[in-house]
Amino acid sequence: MKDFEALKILWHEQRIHPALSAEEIVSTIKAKQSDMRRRLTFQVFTIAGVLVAAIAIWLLIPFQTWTSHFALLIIAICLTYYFIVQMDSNRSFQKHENLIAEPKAYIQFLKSYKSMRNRLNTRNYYIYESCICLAFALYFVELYFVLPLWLFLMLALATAMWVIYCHRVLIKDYVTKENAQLQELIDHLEKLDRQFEENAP
Amino acid sequence: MTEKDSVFLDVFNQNKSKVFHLCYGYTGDTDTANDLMQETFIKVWQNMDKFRKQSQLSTWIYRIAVNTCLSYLRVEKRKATDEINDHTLETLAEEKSDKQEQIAQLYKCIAQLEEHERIIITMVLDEVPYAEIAEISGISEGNLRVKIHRIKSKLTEIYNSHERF
Repeated sequence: MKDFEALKILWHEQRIHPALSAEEIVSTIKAKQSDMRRRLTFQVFTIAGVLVAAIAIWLLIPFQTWTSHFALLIIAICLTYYFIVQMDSNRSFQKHENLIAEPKAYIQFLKSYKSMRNRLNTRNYYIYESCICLAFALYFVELYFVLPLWLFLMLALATAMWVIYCHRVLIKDYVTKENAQLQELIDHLEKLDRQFEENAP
Repeated sequence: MTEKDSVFLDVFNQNKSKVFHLCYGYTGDTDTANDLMQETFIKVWQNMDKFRKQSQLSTWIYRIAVNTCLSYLRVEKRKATDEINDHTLETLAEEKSDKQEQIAQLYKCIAQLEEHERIIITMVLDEVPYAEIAEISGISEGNLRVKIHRIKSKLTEIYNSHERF
């Protein structure tokens, strides 16, 4: 028979030690940081490339109608907006500031992060999607005058199908997966939080 | 080595065992415990500049460790809590001494506690002051004392019931 003090003495005699050294952790952090920097640089260059391409098209192709110019302006604004929002959202989660808080505060952070992501992926995404659709519609005004009718119709149909696919399949899948992950984490933390609570049995 | 690196080395060496015990007590698996410990210290590194000394450094690190453990979700279905992880047994069986077998038994008993009880008891075993445990777990000190008393009895009872066989 052992009492708790005997268990405590036993605990302090354990020879199980972490298999990691501080140097390994520092090198992992530095590798992750450089990977993150690489990914951010790639994103910045990609969006910058698309913007430059849009501006080049704008300047080099003599568009006939004002609608095409307006369409390009809308696309440029949408791309910039989406890029800034995504970067900001990633940065807020990576800061981990809320991990310093108590479990309850951490759950609150996750809940507000989830509703912020929901707003971004639903209302904001639909505004973004509507603007892109408007831009395409405006550009198609010019295409209507320069392309043969069969080609114009094919292009319009392909664009419409792509937009419907993004709206009904891609974004819904993405939102469902992201929501499920965050909700699983919140449920798990709340279940444990109830165990910590004062009146828990 | 930068100044931040050397501060981190000190912080790591002072806290690694306790953080590891907490993660190991929570998961019952050395590999996962090492992963969670690594994740904890990565967050410590990322937030070191923000530590404002409103609480003790060890409390701050424990809070990050506790939240990291709580956020840990197993991909595979969890085994019944009274079954100690095979890997744990293998690791501990390598050290044949009676003492190490008893420690393996102790971890097996901790694995039978509720998740929040595992977190609290590993801190108690590591002699973290009650005020600090209360601050980390976000419950009042009075309530914590009652809980600790209950968990101590429960753990001792489980351990002794195994030792009888």
